[in-house]
Amino acid sequence: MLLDFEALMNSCADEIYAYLVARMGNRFDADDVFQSTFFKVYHFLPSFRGDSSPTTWVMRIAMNEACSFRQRKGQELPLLTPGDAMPQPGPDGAGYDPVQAETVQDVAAGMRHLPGDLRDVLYFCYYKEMSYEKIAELIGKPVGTVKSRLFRAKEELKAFLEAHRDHRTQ
Amino acid sequence: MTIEHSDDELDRLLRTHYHAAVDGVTAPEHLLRQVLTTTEPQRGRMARWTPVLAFALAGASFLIILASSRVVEVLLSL
Repeated sequence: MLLDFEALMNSCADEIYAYLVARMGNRFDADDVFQSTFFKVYHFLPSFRGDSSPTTWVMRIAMNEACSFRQRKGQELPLLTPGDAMPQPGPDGAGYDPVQAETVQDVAAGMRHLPGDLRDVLYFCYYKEMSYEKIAELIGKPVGTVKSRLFRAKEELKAFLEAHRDHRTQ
Repeated sequence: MTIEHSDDELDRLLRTHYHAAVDGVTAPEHLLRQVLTTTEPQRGRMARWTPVLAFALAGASFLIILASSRVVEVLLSL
């Protein structure tokens, strides 16, 4: 299957980058993993057999790269960096909701607290609104595994948010 | 005090997070350019061989045609 690298990158760059920002929790790491993902795509493109859609194939590479990046680095940068993805007050304070900002920060922290495999399932289910079958195909696991990971992800996230809120109200 | 998070509330929180942190995020232009620039020399190297390969292919085709016409000539003379 002959694919043009540049066309492929342009067609799925935004989707992959959004996933990596959510997965890594900050844009610095997302930038690094984005580059290593597309270097791998470039390297392995001639051997792509077209078993799945090109975007699914690239997403799988991005998932693997994100996973190995975390293992390599051991730890990630703390939370989302201001100005990257967090709601920030404008010059006159307009458009800034402190409650929303706090919520976003809590959920971001909770997401970072989750293991990568649980975070992936949560992302594809809630943010990309994919079906269980599609997620199962993407991560290469049975549908039952997707459901159990989603359950565990939600339970762990709820527990984190409750503990966080308890800590704040004390 | 413990506040229980229902699934509905978790849905709402996740959606708020999504809209604030992930929705509308696009890959920065400089990052795309950087990837293309890094892979460019390799693609350039491949491109350099393209005319050579085309010439070799044309030469091989010419020889094949020449050889087959010679075979036909020999067969007809029999």
